[in-house]
Amino acid sequence: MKRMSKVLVLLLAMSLIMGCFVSCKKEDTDEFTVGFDAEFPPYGYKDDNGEYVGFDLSLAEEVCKRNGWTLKKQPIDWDSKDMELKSGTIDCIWNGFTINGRESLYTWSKAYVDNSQVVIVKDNSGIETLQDLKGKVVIVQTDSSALAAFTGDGATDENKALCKEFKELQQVADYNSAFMSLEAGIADAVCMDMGVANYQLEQRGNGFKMLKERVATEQYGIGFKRGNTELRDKVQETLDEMLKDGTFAKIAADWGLSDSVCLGKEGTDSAYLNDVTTKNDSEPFIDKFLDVVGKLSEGMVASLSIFVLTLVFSLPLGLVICAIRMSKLKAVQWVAKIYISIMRGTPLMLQLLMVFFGPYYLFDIALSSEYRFYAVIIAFSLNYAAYFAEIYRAGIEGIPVGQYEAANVLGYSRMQRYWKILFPQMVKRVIPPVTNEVITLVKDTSLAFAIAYTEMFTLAKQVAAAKASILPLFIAGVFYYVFNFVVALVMERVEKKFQYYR
Amino acid sequence: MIDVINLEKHFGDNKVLNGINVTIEKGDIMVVIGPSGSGKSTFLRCLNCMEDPTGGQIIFHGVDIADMKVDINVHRRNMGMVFQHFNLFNNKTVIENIMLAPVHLQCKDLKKAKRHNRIIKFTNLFRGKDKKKAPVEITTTKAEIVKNARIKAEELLQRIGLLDKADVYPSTLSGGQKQRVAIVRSLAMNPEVILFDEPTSALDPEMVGEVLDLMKALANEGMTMIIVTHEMGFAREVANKVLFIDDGQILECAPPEEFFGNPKNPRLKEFLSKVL
Repeated sequence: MKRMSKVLVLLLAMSLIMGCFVSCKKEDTDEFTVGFDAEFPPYGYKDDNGEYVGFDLSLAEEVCKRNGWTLKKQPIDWDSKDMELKSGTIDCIWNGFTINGRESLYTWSKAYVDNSQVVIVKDNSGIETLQDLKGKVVIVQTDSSALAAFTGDGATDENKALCKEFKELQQVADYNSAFMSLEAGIADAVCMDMGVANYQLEQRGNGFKMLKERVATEQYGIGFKRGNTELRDKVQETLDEMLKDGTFAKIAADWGLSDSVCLGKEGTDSAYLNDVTTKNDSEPFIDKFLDVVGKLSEGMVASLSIFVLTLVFSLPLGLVICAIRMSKLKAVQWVAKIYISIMRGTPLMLQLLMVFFGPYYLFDIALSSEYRFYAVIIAFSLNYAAYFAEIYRAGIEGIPVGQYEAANVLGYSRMQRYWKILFPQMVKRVIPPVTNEVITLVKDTSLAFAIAYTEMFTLAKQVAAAKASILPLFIAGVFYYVFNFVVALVMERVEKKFQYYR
Repeated sequence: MIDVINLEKHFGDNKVLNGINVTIEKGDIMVVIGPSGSGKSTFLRCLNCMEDPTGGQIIFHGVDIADMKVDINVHRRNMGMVFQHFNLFNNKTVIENIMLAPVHLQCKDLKKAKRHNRIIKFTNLFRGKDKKKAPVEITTTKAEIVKNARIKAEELLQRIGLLDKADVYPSTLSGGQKQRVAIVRSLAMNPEVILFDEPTSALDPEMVGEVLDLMKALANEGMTMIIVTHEMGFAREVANKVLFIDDGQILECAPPEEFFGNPKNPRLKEFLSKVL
């Protein structure tokens, strides 16, 4: 009896504390944090004045005003939306958020926008129907409804079959790079929500067209953390109020979305009524773990090939740049100086974008989708060569001048002096700084995501988003650590090899 | 053997050598002394064009090697040099330090001869039967060159008693051992003259003796040597000509007995009174 009461007291205390955590938060702060993708016009984006605006944000503002909350607009990385929501850093995802296929993952408001997945192609591409997309490169946003429409669990059989016929289904981080790829001819079609498509077509003018056929129909709702019906109900009540007094229709008209809104219409509340509070996560941890490791291993191959190829090209290229930098001619020296200054002074991510899109935008060269990988290698090699060149130079200049003089006096030719005396001594000197650079390179491979090359980190983020779990990111961290551990071990070995003289 | 005529060297506005005239005969042991900053090291380094002279001539075997058009490497073969800081190659073993340059030079000659013969063979195709040119005789191979160089290097190491150090790296040697290796390294080239740039200045006192002894032995064998040093005792004992340089000019040039016993220049007198 005594034990029973102890357990009861404990349970009571725990539920009290938990309850506090769940409910106190809202009451205390009166802050309503909306998570949105800042590159998703017209629902949420940065306008010309640098403000975050959009249809959804206008709605959220009105809801907050009526409830006396302060609205906090929190731009998020779309891949990590589930982690943001689960950890409580945002209160809801309100950003053209598709309900279809995600019914049981969130606590939903009623659907307020009816949207469909459409396909945008270049005007002169000759693509007229969905069937014409066979053998083409199609772009979708990572973890978007368009992707789900082709590969998700709820995808129709026709869409799945069609997707198999694509040359490639590429995932990009944002629509801007999707359209750049389309323009540059790297891809043939972009699949996206109709609302977004209308906005993009309006902004980008001629040159693109929308296929008449729809890939899928879908509805947008506001996603709350599963089980957070309290907050959801408050927001929904306010929205219903707004619909009644016409404010909702007015805001929709302001954003040109009068045709797509569907709040209050029939068939918009199926997800709203589907309040799942417990998730039956039947997959055992070890299976999940092995699945993630298996998926990431594929990405590891990509990361590894970037790493190896970059070293193969940048180490010798650095030597060439170093030679130019140390030339006796001032004018020649300046060429290398400017090169190094640019490569070190601008972000590698920017250089990746320049190498990838530059050929089309600067020289009007049509690009193939295979160029993606080459662009990664070219940009990485050019960038790292600049760093290596400076490391080599420091190594050569650190060699005592007496070594040169002795070689000269003994009648060595320039080449012989370099290869027999200076180069081996330089190599020994530069091993520690080169190790530093190489380890940075391992981690920098993740930057390849900037041009949507799927290496390990990109994959980890995609898997993390799909599984709504932080585990893939954690495993990715372990992968990187092991990778670098091996690199450091190898470099230590090399350094020891050179210890034969001092 | 070497005629230095009106040698000048400027670093910008700084005139380091100001018209040096001196003749070095075969077998001469010439010691150069002078206060620091007087230009004596620069003078020595101009002799094998480690520093390119600004003006004047250095006639070595009838060729002006101060002329920029002359391939200096050809003449440097005949002029050894020993540095204050030894300058042994850190990444090569002791014996490699000694062998490397001779092997390189002989292999270069061998390659040249082979190329020459190939050209003759080719041009002979177009020559008449009785006008064929004979190829140059090649008596050696690369393996043989390396083998001979090793034998010679071992002999040299034997001579300085460091044969057991043949396969170690220079960093494990003492200063005196390093300098002796550096001296035999220049000897391995069979030079006609060796230039010594303060060979004992960077040594601990107890090691100076072993290096000077080796230099004395070389002098007795008739090697032509030009030595910049502060070792007055050595100069008095070994040299047959002593040079006093100050402000980039030769102020006195005499045999050691006269140089030390009866100096004429007042600056030299003052210098000797300080160092002796």
